[in-house]
Amino acid sequence: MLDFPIESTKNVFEVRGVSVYYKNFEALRNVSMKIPEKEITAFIGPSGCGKSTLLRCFNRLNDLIPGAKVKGQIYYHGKDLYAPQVDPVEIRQKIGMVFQKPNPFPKSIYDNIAYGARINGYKGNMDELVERSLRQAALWDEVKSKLRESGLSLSGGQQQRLCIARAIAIEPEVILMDEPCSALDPISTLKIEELMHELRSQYTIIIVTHNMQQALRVSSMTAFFNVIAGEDGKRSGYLVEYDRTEKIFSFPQENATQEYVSGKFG
Amino acid sequence: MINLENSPKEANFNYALNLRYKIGRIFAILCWLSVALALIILAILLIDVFIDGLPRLDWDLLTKFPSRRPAQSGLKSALVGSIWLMILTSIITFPLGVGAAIFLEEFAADSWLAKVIEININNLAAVPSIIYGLLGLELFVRIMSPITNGRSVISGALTLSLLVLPIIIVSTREALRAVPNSLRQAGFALGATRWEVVKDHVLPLAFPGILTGIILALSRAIGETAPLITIGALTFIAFLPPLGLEGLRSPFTALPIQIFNWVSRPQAAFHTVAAAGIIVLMVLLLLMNATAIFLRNKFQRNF
Repeated sequence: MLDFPIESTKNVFEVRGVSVYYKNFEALRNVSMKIPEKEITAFIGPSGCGKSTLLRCFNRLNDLIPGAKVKGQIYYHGKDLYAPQVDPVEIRQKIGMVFQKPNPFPKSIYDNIAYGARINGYKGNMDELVERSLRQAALWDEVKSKLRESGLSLSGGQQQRLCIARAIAIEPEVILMDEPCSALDPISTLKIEELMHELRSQYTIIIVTHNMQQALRVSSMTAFFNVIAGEDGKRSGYLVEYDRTEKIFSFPQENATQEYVSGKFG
Repeated sequence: MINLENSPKEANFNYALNLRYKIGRIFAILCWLSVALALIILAILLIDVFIDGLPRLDWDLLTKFPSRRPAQSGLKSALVGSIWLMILTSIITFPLGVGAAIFLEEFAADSWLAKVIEININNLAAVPSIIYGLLGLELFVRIMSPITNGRSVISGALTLSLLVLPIIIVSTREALRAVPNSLRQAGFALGATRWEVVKDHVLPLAFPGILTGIILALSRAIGETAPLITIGALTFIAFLPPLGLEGLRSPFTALPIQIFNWVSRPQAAFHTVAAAGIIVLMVLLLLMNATAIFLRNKFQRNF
């Protein structure tokens, strides 16, 4: 089931037997998978299946939640992300993130982009970086005349593209997207999806989504997660099936996957 | 208008809209009455004080030292003493209180010890001020006397600082907690360190709230009498603390103490001076609150 289907490509992440606990609660159980380089990988599944939890393991954002604990190993280019000598701040410079709700800083559009570059000691021309990042996020034409205005003055869809521009400004290798379109209207969603197609040649993208059509449209790999209730009634997530997106949607190996992608539950 | 009578579901509901509106109106009136009651009592107090104090509210009151004769009594030393206290107290409490709050809210692990500290700070905020006076008397006036020179401005300011520190810590933590977590996560996800997240995102957003909390805490301190009497602030001071470091070690008096002293004199003329003093204290308090509102609006850009 978990055989890796495209062995020829390079992998960015290798997840080995990862379980995530919040205090004593097991949110995610024993996940193993490999994330290919410069592809879009989608995580789908019903609420509470642990897909966002796993996503937050890749940039160690779970570290900030008191009581969160990760068992197993995640290798990033063969290096264990959770080894004691690894600095999570350093990791996050290489692995950017876009959140469910657009969360621009209450600063100018310009400063939103420049902030990450500034703290990470960017040595190039800041104006050029801001323009390049905004162009890459397909936002430049809409904001070029008002770079000094607040990032919060933009519409929801523009704010989310600003957040994507902010993430790519620090030149990461991976972009994690946690349901980036769930707070947006269909037109803004379409724009973000087009943007993802543009970005796939340069970045490894992992996207968590509730929207199966979105997974089908944007991703080349799809992982389906499900929940099981334990003896104590607590629900843990686990990885059901992980394969090429066409295969998950057309010829799923597991019954649960078949039922989920055909809309029987979820 | 929708004609409810013709609705087939009508029989299942008793809408009783008129009754529901009436209950709402009665509640609104009760709320309005409680506001009115509070305002009336405040107005009576103010009018009473103004009638008593206005005849003595003149330039002499502000520029003369206290005197045995009520007609020549002024509160120059008390006013200057109160200003000294407020400035010193804010210099002491701003870094300590805000620093402690930032540590507890942003840096400290969610541990057993942190919870104990939190409960204790909340309790300290409710301790009667005279207890702080007793602590200040022992610690700052007696034990630290070689440094503070006993009953001096700095002893008073340190005592008031103890009193307002818990209040400032609690209100600063509230302001920090009001900063949405999504903003912290956005900062961390860009590779910011904890300190950078606090300095660049949390503090600027929380600053207006922190400032308001501090000024409101100081407005409480400026009216405090009990702790200052306990540490033995004098009531008859006919000189000003010298400007400079030596002023810190100088004896002092403050507005509430001076007013308290005048009120307890037998001569009625002194009561008039006391009423005028209350007006001055109140104006000072209103000025501080106005500053708080002004600063809050100034820093609260929706940016």
